[in-house]
Amino acid sequence: MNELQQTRVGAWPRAALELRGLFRNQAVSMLLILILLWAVLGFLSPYFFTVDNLFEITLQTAVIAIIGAGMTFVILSGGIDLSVGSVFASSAVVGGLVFTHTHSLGLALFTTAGTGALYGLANGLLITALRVPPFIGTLGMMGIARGFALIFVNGVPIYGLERYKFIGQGKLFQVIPVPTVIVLVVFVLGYLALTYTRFGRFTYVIGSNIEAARLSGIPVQRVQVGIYMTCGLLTGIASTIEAGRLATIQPAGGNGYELLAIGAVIIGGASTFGGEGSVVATLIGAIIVTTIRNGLNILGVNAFWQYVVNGLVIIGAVAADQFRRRR
Amino acid sequence: MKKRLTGLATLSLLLCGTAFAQEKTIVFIPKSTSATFYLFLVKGAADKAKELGYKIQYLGPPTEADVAAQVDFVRSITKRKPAGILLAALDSKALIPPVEEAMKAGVPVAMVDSGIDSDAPVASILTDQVKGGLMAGEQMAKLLGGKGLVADHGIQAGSVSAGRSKGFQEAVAKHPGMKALPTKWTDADSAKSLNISTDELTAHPDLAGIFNACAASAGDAQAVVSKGLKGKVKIVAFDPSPEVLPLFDDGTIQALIAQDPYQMGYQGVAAIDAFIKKQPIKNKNVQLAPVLITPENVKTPAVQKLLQTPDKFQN
Repeated sequence: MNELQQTRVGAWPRAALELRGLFRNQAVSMLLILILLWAVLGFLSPYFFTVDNLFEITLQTAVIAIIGAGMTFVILSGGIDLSVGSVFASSAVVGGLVFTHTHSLGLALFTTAGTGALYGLANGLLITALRVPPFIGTLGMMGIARGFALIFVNGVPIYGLERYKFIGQGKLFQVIPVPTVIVLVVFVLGYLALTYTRFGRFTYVIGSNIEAARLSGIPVQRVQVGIYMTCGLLTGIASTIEAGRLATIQPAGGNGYELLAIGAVIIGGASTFGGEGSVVATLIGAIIVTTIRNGLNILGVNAFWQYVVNGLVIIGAVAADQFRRRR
Repeated sequence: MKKRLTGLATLSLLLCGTAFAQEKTIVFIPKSTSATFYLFLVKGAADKAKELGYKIQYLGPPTEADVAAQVDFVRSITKRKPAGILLAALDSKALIPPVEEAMKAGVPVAMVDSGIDSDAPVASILTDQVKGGLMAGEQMAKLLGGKGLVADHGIQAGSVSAGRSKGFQEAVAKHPGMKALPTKWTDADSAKSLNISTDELTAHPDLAGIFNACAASAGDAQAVVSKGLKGKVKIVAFDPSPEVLPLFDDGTIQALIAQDPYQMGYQGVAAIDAFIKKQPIKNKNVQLAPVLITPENVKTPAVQKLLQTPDKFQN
């Protein structure tokens, strides 16, 4: 009895401490901003806060969130990957061609993801073996991958992908969109990899101090190649979702997705210098970006003002977060 | 980003510029290489070029979002001195200087699909964009019995193709029972029109129709299908492109506005050839009338000719 009372007394300050720690956590403060955003939009439009629309937001977020998960690894390691938008189109096109020739959906999806990973491998080798800075190496790859996407299909979209639809438009138990499920799986795996595996811990260490990482015997180059391959692989997976949503594959698609993905990671609060951030925060960052667009569309805000509001909310979210950290 | 990409493309262009016989090559610069539409224009141009002994080269920016990139393209290609340039202008003002420079440098330019506000080109073979939009709006009114809320998805604000949305809005305004939402711009990107349509359908459960100014209507169609509103929400769009035709056939899209890209390419090359041979050009400004395609007239030979099926551009 006595013992029990003591633990309860002792538990109070600990809980308070944990709560304070929780607020310091990037993901939690961004989640609060997101909830605030939802509350405001829900107040402004009766159509915003419906199960249907909330699932729609997760659906519209899926592509950028998954690319963002890969981008989180890259940015945590102090790098950047500008090629994801082009790799997105290129891997979708290669997989789509495999599908139109073999009619095997499994093989097509495997090829799409594999092509993404191969582009990642190429990026990784450029950066480690040729010592090209990530910004330049992936900028070059952005041109190359886009070029191949257009060359492979002569600029013509691939269509007749009715069987792709399950990945983009299907619903599990008639309620949960399949892309949402894929997002959950990717982020749980991403979280586990970053938190509990050596690969994940090495990623943080390389981003914090690459020299120290090298000196402490971390196989820096191998980890870096792995990081870019992860990013490419996830980009490939994301492209199958968009193909499924549209039932076509556009060789010019994915244009500008690199900026959206990097935006999601940064809004999530990752440091652009590496070493700091989390995959969960990226997911929330991606949902914030989509929420703004979806909300403004639902409110019927003029298309040109949307750009302005979008920019303001992004700056506002990050500024609020900086303020919280200083305290 | 796009600019860098195009910069790379332009550089490689200049590098390989010496590799072909320039005096016999006509370069066709589309608004973007990602629209299937232009492949039919290329086919028309190539057929006429074959008759007259030219080669057609097809080069352009990858997306329709970047006017500056197209200006750079025209400039760098002029430096290579091809026999002529066929150009689909992204902007009716911004492309005036590069076209006038090309003409001065002795490279004849014929405008196809979308023109510029200048008499400099040797000829312009265009679609009446506003009229096409008007036809789409009228058909929408007919489908909806002259009443209801409709969405308008344009390509890009301020561009030549924005005339389609202008026409559509004008037609809708003539019907007191109809109301159009403000134009939303998709950059001809299906993924964007999918998201925009979905959000508009959420915000306006009474939305009765969607107009799309290009083949990005494939995205609108998927939005309507996944909301379970196929056939209930009417879709009218420009361009019977290969990725759109199956959606027209299964009744997701009710009407299409067709242009005649084959004729644009064909007549454009003929005009350049006439200019080079110093022959008179009878009609400098040709406006090809857009054609409305509905399930009722789709089987007629005149319409079948305009459907952009892949067999028409594969040589």
